[in-house]
Amino acid sequence: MNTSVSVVIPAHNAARFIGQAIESVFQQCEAAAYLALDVIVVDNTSTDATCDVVQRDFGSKVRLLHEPKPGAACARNAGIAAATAPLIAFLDADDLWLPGKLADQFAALGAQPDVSLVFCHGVEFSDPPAAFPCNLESRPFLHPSGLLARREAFDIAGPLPEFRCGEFIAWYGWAQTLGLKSLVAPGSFVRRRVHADNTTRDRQGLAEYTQAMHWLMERRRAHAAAAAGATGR
Amino acid sequence: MIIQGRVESYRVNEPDVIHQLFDREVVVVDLRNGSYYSLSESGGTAWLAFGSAAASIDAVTELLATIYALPPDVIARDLRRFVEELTARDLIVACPQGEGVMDAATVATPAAAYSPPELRSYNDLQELFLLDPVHEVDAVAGWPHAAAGGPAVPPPAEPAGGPATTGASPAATGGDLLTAKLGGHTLLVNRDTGVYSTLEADRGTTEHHDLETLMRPWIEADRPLRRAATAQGRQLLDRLDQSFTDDAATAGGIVEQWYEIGGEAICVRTIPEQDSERLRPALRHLAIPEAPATGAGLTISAWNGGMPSAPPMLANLLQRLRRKWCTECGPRGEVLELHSSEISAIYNAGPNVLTVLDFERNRGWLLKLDDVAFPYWEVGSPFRFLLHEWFAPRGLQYVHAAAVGTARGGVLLVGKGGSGKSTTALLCAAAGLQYAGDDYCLIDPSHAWAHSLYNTGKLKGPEDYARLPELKGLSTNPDSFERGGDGKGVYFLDEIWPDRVVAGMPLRAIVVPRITGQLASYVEPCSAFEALVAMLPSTAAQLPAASNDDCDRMVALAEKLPAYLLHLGTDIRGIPAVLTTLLNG
Repeated sequence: MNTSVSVVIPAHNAARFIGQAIESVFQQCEAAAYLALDVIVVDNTSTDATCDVVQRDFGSKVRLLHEPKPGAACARNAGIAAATAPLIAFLDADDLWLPGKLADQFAALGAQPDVSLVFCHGVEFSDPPAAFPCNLESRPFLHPSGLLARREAFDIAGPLPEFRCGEFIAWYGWAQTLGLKSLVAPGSFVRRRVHADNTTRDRQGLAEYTQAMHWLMERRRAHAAAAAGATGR
Repeated sequence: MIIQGRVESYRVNEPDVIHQLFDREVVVVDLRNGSYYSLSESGGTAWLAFGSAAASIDAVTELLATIYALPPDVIARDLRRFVEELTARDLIVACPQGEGVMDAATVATPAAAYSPPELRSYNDLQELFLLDPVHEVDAVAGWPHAAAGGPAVPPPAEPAGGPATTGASPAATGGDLLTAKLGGHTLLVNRDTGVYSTLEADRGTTEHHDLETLMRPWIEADRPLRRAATAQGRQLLDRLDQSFTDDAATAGGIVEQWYEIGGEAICVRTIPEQDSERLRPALRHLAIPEAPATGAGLTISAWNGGMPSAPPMLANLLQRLRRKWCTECGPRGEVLELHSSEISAIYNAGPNVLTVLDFERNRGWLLKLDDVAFPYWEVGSPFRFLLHEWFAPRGLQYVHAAAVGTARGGVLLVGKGGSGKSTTALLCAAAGLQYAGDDYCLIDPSHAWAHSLYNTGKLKGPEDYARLPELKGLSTNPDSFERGGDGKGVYFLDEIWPDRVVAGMPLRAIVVPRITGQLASYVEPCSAFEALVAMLPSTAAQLPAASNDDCDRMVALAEKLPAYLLHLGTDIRGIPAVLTTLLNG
């Protein structure tokens, strides 16, 4: 069985976090040496030392790509295009994985061949400590940092729509429409960093939620029309 | 006036509900619960007609009747049903008389014959929505809040310690609008919507949305009215003071340090060895060796503690704040139980800090309800709310501004965060100019004087070393990026550049920095109104108690001084010289 996983880490001005994030990825192999990791850092228009830190501390252990189009969706798509493994995971540069994340999800996918997407649970933490209110209770982490996906999911549903907001929500909705199965594993393996520079949703950013939902509805309508045509109704 | 049952005008429930027109389809997203909607063509037209400006049902009926060439009574019946559905979902809200309706001529000819306005609702992705923008945080104001996408704080439970007796009750106040008029122009700051607007005689109205995240319009709590303090409120203050004395006695005493701030003697009391002692160094350049004969104008007690040792009634309040501040506080953290004409109390849930000011007896308290280190912004700019509210009735204005200068006087650098004022101030200090603050000052408008508050400067990250290599490695706050933390570094310039930090300076000009991509820096005159627009909204957005009195004082200052735009070039070494030349001119 192929045990390789491509891990796509989109990074925009993440010099302060990226080292920790990548380490949390390599830690996955400590108790699961069978995993072969293809770690892809996608620099997304960083103007800080993100790339220097990655090259200095991880060198040839990771692949460093540059995606000039701004937006996490563009960076993730560049990573998906470059990924070589049959399984793809994402980790935002400011989030962290806990040990066992990939092994747990790898086992879940192995046990259920009909499932394409497996999420895990996650918690939040404040950086600096106690500065920001956090949800400390583990809850379903339906976010790219909590996902392990079969590569086919992206072959079938296509890349993420390139919006600044709601892009993953819309893609997931589309994947559901196409019948891709997903599940949420009970283990809590993601720590989401809440910090002063969390992507702020400005007015323009929020407006892209409506664009993402429109994208989804258009696709669903075309899909339904095609299905109706195919069955002769 | 809105009379129950006779409301006829509605507007889109922004900013919680967003919408966009795609070709002929209006798509609506409710950010509170992640539901999304598609509107039929006639429904979309009605939706856009209600819009953010509001319109009456009659006006929208008439519009649809014109567009579809149908009798209004047919439309009216369908539209009422549609409006009922939208209001039931809280997508539109009733409001006073709308400002009008779109001109039928501006609406595209419908693609299809009339069908009743209709709403298709989808909620299959709610769970993902609620997880998406989990938090928006505002480190400067220190007031954390749930993002529009969903609750970051668990919904409030029933009171843990019995019902609270409130000194202030929430009340609708007809909008939280600050108004400033200068030179025939008007500046409006609406903290309920997070929008500020300029009404200029020659340019018309411009809306500004760049401070929305600071003003947090999505906090829905009603603004509490100030009432007379209750006996219970006064008793709570005594217990708060007692709690400080008790905690100090357990820990080995009280440290008293005196400062002269804005011409007033202020005594700061802390408890030795506590983290709260780190609040003092930012004021160190204003320290005076002993109590003046006149005694203290204001006494501030600052400490970590209050739990669980606090006296019973106080412990109950503190516990409620910690557990469910969202129901105990007004939209800017006003503690409802204490908020009154004689007491100001603000709770900041992020750093877990309660700030209380007793106007009558000139006592202030800053209590951090845990032992976690104070975040960098409290260490760099301590007692913001206390100093603002205590000095306001004394005619001195707390402003979000930097002040630097020469022996001839100084400039007040104004603008929102990120505009370049802090960097400019630090570059000037590095070049040998006098320094009275990089972020906040206390202004005396009647004498055009800037009193220094804090001797601190801040760097965001290693990228700032290129501009200010002198500061590298000198921050001591544990959350500094230089110490492995994720915060700004705080630098005490009274130690680094003792010859440059001053207690105050006469002001010669207000300067509005603008970052440009050009090489050279230069100044050009601008209007006093431009300076006011750069200074007032970002100041008001950071001060929970900001009022029209604050606006008046900022207007008075802007009227008194010439104003300039400072175009910041990429050759940063030239910046101090530009300001020196301006001051010498």
